[in-house]
Amino acid sequence: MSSVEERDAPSPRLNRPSLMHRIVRVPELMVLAALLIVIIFFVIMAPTTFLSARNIGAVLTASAQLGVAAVGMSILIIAGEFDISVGSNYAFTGIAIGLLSTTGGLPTWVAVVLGLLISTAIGLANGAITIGTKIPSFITTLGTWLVWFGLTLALSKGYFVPVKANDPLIAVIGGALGYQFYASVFWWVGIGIIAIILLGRTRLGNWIFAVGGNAEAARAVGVPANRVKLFAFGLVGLVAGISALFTLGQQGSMAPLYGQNLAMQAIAASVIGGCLLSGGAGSVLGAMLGAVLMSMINSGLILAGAPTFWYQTFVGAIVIVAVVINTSISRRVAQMK
Amino acid sequence: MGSETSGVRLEVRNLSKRFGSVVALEDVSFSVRPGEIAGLVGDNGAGKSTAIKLICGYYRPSGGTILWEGAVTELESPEHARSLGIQTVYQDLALVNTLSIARNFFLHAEPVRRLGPVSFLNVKEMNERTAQILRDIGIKDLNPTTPVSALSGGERQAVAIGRTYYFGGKLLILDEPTSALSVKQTQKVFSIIQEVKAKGVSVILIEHNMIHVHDIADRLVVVRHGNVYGDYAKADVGVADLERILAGAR
Repeated sequence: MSSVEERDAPSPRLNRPSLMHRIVRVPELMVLAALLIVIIFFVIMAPTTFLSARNIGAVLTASAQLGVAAVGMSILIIAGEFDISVGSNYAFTGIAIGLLSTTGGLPTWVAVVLGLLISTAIGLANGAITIGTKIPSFITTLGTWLVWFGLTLALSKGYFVPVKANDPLIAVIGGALGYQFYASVFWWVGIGIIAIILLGRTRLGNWIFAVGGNAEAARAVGVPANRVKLFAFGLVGLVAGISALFTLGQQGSMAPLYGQNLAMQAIAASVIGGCLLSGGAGSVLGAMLGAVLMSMINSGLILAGAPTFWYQTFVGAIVIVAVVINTSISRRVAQMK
Repeated sequence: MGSETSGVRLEVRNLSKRFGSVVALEDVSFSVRPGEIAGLVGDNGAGKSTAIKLICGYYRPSGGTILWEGAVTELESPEHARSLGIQTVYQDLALVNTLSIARNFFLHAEPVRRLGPVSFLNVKEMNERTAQILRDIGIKDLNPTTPVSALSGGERQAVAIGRTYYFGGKLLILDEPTSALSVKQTQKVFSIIQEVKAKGVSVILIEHNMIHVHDIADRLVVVRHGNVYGDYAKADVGVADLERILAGAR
């Protein structure tokens, strides 16, 4: 049995990964490169306006609203699941908070707390249905997406629902700070940092990756796989509610038709940011940068004078390119020692 | 190590398992000592897997007893068996491909550092201890941060075996550990099984290849039609004998 000993000689299979390996293993690599290209492109196309404080503020504010949903969505994708219903949850929660605080006469903070409990409960229900029935979450949340969309329309009767005007709590959560900059940006960054630490530096984070990568192997060593998935579903519900609060802060109201693209955009941001759709790999930071990229394209096209419907086309093309590149990189990284 | 007066780590006596009217296993008896490798051989459907699933707590026996370190023990669940030190390594279920070796090694047993109310992963300790364990079991050329997807089949088995040993495994059950491996990788896995055996771990090895199992095992337990056909010391039975027995000759 000397085959192991024979390899004691310096081998190319290294004890320290090379610089190249370490760079290619960065999951955010793709989105950083794409951001660089998009920034250069729009700086050339709209030199005076794209880097203005107003535009940067507007891009970051839009990023916060999409990006906070992407924080949760990327964690759920890493755990091996999806939530298509996140946009309905967002609209329903926003309208519920509005109704509770105005028609319901509750103090705003009570309405906000209740709203976040509702959105988290909706997320947990998605998880419970998915885990309980063993039906893919893509299907179960497609169903709940329609259920909550219908309930949102019923609750709002199709109208905009406002929150109390000039409420200090709503202002702290998502009020204007000048130059198209809103308070939501800070909350988003804070939530993102907590999520990044949770995923990379806690036991629960390790379990989320493990459950998404190979749920049976994780179970075999005692990881409570179902509870980990349920947590991720609940988290997506919570951030859907937070995203709704951001919208209430910016606009003072919620419309029942808002957010119907939110799930697909959050999934797109996660994929652009390096999440594997098969689960087990990805990055919260990447998903946040993916949201910035998408918001940047949206505002850049407007500033460059292009019709805004190009936005969808652009983002769609980037998603496909991102998946192709991510898949080939991850396949290569998977083989690299 | 308590009541190891008999020096036997695991003994099964007259173990049987029925599924309805189907008798999967009947009257199976054998034992394993510390630092001993017992090869469990038998044709497909002979009852090897059923026997393993009884020993790792997955099934409850219909009859017979299991003695763990000399005491009659009812294995209530795989978790219970694991807590006693009975560890099973399956071919495909063992590791998470997308995680690094170190993160796999410490999955659900991650070292943490407390900072006020929150516990953070001690990534440095995880990597350093994994590197140490890999060296201990004779793997000197793998970085703990390497994703498991980059490992060869033999290296994966090696890491999975090393993991069970490190976390207090006293009896290691290996179900066809080399079925998908090249000759060289098989040798590597066997050398790690030998390392673990040298540290006093008992091993039950299910293996199709009679040459391999004869090569590494100390004892050979032949299962046929749900019965133990014979329990041989290695010296008393040759590879050709094993093949003849399994082929059905008496």
